[in-house]
Amino acid sequence: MGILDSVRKNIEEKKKHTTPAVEGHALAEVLKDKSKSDLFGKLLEREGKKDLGERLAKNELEEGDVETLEELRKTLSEKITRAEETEKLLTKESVIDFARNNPDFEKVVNQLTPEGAIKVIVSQLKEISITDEDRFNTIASLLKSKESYRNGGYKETEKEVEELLNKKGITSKEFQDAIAIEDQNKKEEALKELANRTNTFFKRSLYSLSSGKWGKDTTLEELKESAESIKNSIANLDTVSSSIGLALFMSVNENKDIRKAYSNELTGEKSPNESKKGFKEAKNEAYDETDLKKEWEELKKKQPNPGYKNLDIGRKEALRGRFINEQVKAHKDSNEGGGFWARIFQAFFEKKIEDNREKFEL
Amino acid sequence: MNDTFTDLYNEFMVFVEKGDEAGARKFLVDNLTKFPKDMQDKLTFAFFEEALTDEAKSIEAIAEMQKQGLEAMGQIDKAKKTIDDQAKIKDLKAKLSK
Repeated sequence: MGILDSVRKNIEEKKKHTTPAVEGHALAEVLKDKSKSDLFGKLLEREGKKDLGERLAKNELEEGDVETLEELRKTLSEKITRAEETEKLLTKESVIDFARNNPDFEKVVNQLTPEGAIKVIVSQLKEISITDEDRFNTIASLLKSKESYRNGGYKETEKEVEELLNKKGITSKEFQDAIAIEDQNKKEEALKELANRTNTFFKRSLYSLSSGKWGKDTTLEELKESAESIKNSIANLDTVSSSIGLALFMSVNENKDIRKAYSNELTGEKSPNESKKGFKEAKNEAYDETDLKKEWEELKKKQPNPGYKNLDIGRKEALRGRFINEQVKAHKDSNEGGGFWARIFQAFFEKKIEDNREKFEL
Repeated sequence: MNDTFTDLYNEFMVFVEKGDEAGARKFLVDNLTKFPKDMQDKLTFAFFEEALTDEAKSIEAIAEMQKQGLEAMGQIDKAKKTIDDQAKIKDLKAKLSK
């Protein structure tokens, strides 16, 4: 650790009497901690400064390296701090909550225990805060959304809906009957059908309110003043109100099955046995060794003078390392914004190409 | 090279080749702990990300639907009151003209 001490001393001497001591995570602290030093390695890789890491390890820092290291340390410290803030939103309770609503994740959590799952998620979060910032930002924002829900951000609307339903005495015998069905599959089917019907009526009702004769106050003047027309108008409005009321009833229902059936209907989620978008597309991105080997050979041929054959072993290995990194990056870029399957195939691709490194002959 | 991983990958690819998505998911869940630790972590995170995304989507969809529903109910109450007022005016006019 001699080099680290000298690096730190150098930094502190330069900053003496001008700025306070190192803020955030000190480089020595980062390098002493296995997980943090791995992250630092990933940051160096991302910034194309792996050679700086090698010089640091060999105690062969060059002029300017200290300043670069300090900049990278600051970046790393910011990322770790942000990831740690996001991690606070991940509690045993929230993980169990996610698991309850997602059967596959529930099985994963059951195998790892909630504490074990949190540990893995936290370490992955730190990693993607460096390797995939967009993905990290999306996850952080989703976790905040969930936290806001738990803390009452959305609960106010929900409370308003509940008060309205109580005031109007809106309930549904159909739903109560459906949840009383003992056979789980039949119950799910009945709830799915009811959720679909309720949502269709809800959408129609909203449409009739926004585009029909109820659309604007002025159109109400068009109502015939005959007693029969007024009676019909009230009856129509009651029907529309009842459809909307039922949908609201489903949305706040404390019964997990009812709420889930309706939320699935709203988000267009298919049952686990139906195909989810992304599997067929993502499988086209599976690891293809023959293609990759061909690309590697092409790259070797394209090397400028003195040509690939004349490179020393170190440079050949560096070229192979760059080739692998570029392939991983290209794969990641082509799957950007992808869903579950894109993540899975990306993970397999990275592991396969790393494991098969030696197959790309030098 | 990790033979266990290669075997698991090959088994997984059988489901992929068949286009059996449900089978592929089940295989990953059932064999999660057999994968090397780095793969296990990535798979776990992918399942977590999916659960989180689904739940957040659901929270947002329900919140939006509730907002629309409450607005619509307010609009209906207003329309009913207008109709009711019109009926009363009509009734009053009829009584006055007698």
